[in-house]
Amino acid sequence: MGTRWTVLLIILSLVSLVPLTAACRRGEATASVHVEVVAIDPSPPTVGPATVRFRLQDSTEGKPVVGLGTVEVEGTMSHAGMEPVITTAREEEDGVYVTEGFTFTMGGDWILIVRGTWNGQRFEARAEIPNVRSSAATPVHQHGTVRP
Amino acid sequence: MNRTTVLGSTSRQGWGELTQWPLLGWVLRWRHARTTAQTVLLLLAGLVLYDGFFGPSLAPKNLAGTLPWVHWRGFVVLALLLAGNLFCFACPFMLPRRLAQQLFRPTRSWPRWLPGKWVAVTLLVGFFWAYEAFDLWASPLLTAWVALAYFVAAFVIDGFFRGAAFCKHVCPIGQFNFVGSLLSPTEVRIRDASMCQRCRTKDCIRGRFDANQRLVQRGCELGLYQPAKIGNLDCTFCLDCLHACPYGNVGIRWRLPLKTEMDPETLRSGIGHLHTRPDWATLVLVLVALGFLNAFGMVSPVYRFLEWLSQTLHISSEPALLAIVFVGALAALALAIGLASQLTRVLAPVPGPRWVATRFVYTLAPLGFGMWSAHYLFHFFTGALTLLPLAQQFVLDLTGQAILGQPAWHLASLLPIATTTDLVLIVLALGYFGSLVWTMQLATRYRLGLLAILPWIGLQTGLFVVGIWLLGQPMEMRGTLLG
Repeated sequence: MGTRWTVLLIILSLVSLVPLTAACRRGEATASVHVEVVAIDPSPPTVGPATVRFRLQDSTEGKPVVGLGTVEVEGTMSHAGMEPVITTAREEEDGVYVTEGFTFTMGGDWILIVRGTWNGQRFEARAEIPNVRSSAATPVHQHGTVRP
Repeated sequence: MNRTTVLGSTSRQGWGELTQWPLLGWVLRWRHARTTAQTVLLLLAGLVLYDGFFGPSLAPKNLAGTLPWVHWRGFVVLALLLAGNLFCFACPFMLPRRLAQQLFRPTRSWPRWLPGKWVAVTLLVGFFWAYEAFDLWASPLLTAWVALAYFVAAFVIDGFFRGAAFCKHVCPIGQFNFVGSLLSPTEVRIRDASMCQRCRTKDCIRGRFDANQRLVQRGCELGLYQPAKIGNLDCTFCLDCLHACPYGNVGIRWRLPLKTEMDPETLRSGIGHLHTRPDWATLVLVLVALGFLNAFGMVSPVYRFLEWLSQTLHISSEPALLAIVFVGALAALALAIGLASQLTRVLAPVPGPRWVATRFVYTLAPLGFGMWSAHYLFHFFTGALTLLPLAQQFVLDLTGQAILGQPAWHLASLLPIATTTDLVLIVLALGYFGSLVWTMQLATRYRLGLLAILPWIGLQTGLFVVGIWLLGQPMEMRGTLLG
């Protein structure tokens, strides 16, 4: 019986150790470029066609990422299985890009994923667009709390 | 008895029995069919664990954020509606459980002070509260933890207690499958009752032993004695009875859904009479309420409701508010059932409201499962194809090469949204229809007039209308952003 309990303890210990090694993750946004949403029209963001302006910056020095022309933009949601909105954004001014034909198809929390090539390397950067409203009457909601 | 003769007589069953079909029948009767199916799902569960712990924190880009919440749930309800309890059959959590049984050879019985389904009911409510309060669907890491906890729980519980304690008393998914399988078109059952009467060894329940009295084939660990087994409740489709029966008298047979399930006074092997089982009645009530709550948690009005509740109660903590909503919804449904029972008591000469409630509460099960199915199938049909770009990205990240091609992120819907909307409404309506049929059946069974069952038809119609309203609301997904 003692051996069995030892086996049980070893198995459970190994199982509990596995998640602790989860620091290294695959498929995370690359660190070279940082994206920051500058403005969304309409504001606050509501379901329907929208224009999103965002700034791309060098993650290390904070310099604007310029001269890319157009970048790929994907709008997706926090829930899996939703059809993402895939479009492009053109450079408007130094480091600021504006989406073309972007639409919020559903209310809720959106994630903007920007992909492109800079300095000869592919990059992917992400920004949050929380609380896209189904209609103007929908209240603001922060995860974990409800604000009257 | 000559086994060849018996098998000869079974061949006349033809297409009415899946286990006699060419090829599929052979696969189902194959001794290692279940282990093979479990191994496939174990590999998929391994992928979920790996990606949950080591993959992207964004749910739509992670196998743990997608496979369980979009694909697995969709396949579960599809299987239950079109075939049977295939996901208990292929349950990967049973593999560590089997390991635990071999390691510890447990002899303890499940504690009597934790009878029936009460633990599972509590876990169901707790899980779905946590699902909403901590946005499990938006967190691959939490999803992986839940899956890991499931493996550990199955291992530990069945390492301690003999039989299928985990499946029968603990597993919330199993209870969902049991209640959903009321609507399944197949059932594991005997072919010839007279053969069971002549049988002396009862291998289907005791198991089969070799000359040295060593167990070579388990019998039903959930205590379902085949000749007295009614319907699908508590049946995991493990097919141990099929393999144990020395006469080949057990098979998976087609049936009219619900037909054998509707009489709560039938004595069911391993269960007893449903009308004397408050745990089963509560399980049905809880599953019905949670089916509607889970769908309500995904539509826009939930945030207006939470805001109103927050202002009224001066509580801003979302988990606390959700706990209140859960308790309130369960209490509201219990109250509605109590009211309908009282009204039936007034309108018909029946013993009392409790007598009515313990029989008629089960009629809500098809409608509740219709709501679950509509919800899960909506996600499945709108997101099933996301598996392809996810697999492409997974392989690309792991190997550095686009072996499966560049991720086609534009892929998502399996069906156009209009078709999906129509389909899920039909599924909900089928559940409603099942509830009405069950109610009418009970009215015939107890010789009650239409007036006496009107409160139940009213309750079912009210829930059906709520379901249609929910499915017509704009969805709104708010969860943990970027982990």
